[in-house]
Amino acid sequence: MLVPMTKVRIIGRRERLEEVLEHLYSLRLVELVDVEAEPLPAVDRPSGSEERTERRERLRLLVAELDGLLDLTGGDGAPVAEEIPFEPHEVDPEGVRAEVRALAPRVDELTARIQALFAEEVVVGRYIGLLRHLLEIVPELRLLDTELAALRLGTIALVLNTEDASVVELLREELRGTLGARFLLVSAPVEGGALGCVLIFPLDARAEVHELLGRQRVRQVPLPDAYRDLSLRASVEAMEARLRAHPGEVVAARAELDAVLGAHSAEWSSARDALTARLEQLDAVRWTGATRRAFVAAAWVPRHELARLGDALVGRFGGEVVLEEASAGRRDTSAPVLLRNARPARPFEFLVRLYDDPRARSLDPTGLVALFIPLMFGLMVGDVVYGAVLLAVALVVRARLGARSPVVRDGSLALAAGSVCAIAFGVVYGEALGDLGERAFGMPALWRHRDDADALEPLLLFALAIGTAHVVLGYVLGLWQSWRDRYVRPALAHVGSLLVLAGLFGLAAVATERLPGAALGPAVAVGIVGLVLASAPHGRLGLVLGPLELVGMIGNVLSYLRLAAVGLASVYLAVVANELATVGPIWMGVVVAAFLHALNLALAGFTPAIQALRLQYVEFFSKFFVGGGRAFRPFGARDGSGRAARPAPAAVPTTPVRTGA
Amino acid sequence: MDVDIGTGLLGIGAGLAVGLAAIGTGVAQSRIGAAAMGAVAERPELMGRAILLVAIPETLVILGFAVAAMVIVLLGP
Repeated sequence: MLVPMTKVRIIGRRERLEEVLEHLYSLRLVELVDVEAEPLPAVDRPSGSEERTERRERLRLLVAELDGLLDLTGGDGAPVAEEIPFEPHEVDPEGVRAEVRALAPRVDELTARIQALFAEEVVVGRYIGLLRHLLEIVPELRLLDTELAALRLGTIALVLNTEDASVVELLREELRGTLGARFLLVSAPVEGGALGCVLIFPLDARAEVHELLGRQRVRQVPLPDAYRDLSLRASVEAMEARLRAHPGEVVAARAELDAVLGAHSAEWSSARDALTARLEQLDAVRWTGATRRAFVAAAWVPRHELARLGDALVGRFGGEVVLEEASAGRRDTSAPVLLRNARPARPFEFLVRLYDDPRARSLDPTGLVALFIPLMFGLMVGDVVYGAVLLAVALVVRARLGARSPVVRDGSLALAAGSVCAIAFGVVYGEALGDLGERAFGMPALWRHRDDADALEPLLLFALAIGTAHVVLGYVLGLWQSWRDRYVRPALAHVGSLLVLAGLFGLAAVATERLPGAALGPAVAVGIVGLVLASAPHGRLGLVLGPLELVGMIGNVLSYLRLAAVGLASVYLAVVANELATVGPIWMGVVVAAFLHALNLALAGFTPAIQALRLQYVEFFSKFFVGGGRAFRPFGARDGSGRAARPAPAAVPTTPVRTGA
Repeated sequence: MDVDIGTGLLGIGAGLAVGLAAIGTGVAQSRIGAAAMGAVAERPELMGRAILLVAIPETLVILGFAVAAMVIVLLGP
């Protein structure tokens, strides 16, 4: 059911505003509404906004800094906790800021070092492959490195972006014109369709060589500064040494950073949560209004919590803060919705929300969903062993993963309920691994075995009976809701739909000779009256929509045949598995049967759940469900991602409100 | 098991009723499913609506099943 909500106004002395917001935050009872759109006498935004804005921005910056530092620790950078421990007075923002600022230079230095190491690894890794390749062009360079230095000969690695070897000859001619015969140029293809070259030349001609290469636009391999004065071989060796030392240096820098941050991470995490709470309270000031001496805040609160909220405010602030119930709240469909169902039905709330949040003051179908989904699931699976295995899976998932996610927890409980129904219907059908229970142990059926040839018709009728009951219930709920809200036309349409269904079933009963032929006339009359009533609210369009409605109604009821169809598919697959087990060697039969039963079990866990859900959403909800609701998000509570509650969308304003200074 | 030609034709007819309806459902679901998953990728909160949209054409195959069942139950031996 939907918890009745009421809108309240909280009025108090202006200087107590922040304290009141702090108290409301800790109570987590109300969802604040922006007063700008409330029908209130002219109110301003609370003054002191510049000072408050500055304080808010300083807090926001500090929280961002803490987030950044906690991210660096790797493990504790999780989003803000779902439930923030509210101890705001234990955190001194200035103290935290001073601590962060004191450590920041060291942290910056270490993070810069780690980044530089990673950058060096990338750069060196890019060069070393090319240099090794060029070194292979003149293997003697590896052996004559010291001799080259003694002879005052230098080496340059070049890359020519061409595969045309004649370009090398042209370069050689140019070099010959400048250096005469005092150089050696060798080349070989390298990766990427280029030519790698090594040029050996006298060091005293370095300037001329560089000028020539620049003039000819020949790309040298520009080494990092640390390697620029080294020979080719020495560069390769130095780079190899750096790459070997690199992992150790990264680990050492990371360990030092962890040591610096680790001592503070728990404290900072707690401070971040408390400061975030304070920041959200400062943000909430913008949703309130004020006069010269008083402030006013508007909020939604569950009706049953109204007294507790009043007591909490009086207990803390005495007569300085007044709680006033806004009279329009009770019938306001813009109210947020809070679902509260009996404990067994609660796991099914997420299935309703998966479709949509029910609108305020509409019906919450969770209880009916909790009844029908397990029933339909069990009706389709209908096997003692499959049900037991699915129940075990649900309980294991609940125990192992339930704490991680509310959806997993609720989903596993819903599956457990469906599995219990599957076991119960397994007893009704006398099924355990299909017909194996009957074959091996003579398992009896309380009603009938689904794989019997004469079971088809009763199963279809049973599915149609459930469908009829479900659809009729949907129409009755829609009728009741329309009647309660004084919506005459929809109420008439629902009455008409019920009469059409009655007429159709009368006709079917006459056709199958379950009713005497004399009932034909009344059945047709009831159907026609119903069709007129169902079509009338659409006006002239009803001439087209009425027949379509009729077809839709028949389709809705026939849709429940899937309860029988999916169940029959499951039991026949199990029967086939058991039949194949008797063909060929026993071991092969066991393997084939086990495989097919596992496949059937996997399908049994998935398909019936989807089909049961579909019957709720399409055939049942379409008769009465009014969606478009907005979940109640108390001020101070968070969603799973750690995001705080935002102000509720404002209702349509009825009185202009003056804002600003 | 001896099966006369009439029973065999009934079986083929029932199979065609379900099979052709299933092909139609599959074609419709493939297009709706692709579009629905695209919408869910953009807005995960639409998952419930996506299931609903994908499941709507299944009524076709259920109607095919109903026809097949009628063929077997009403006309069968």
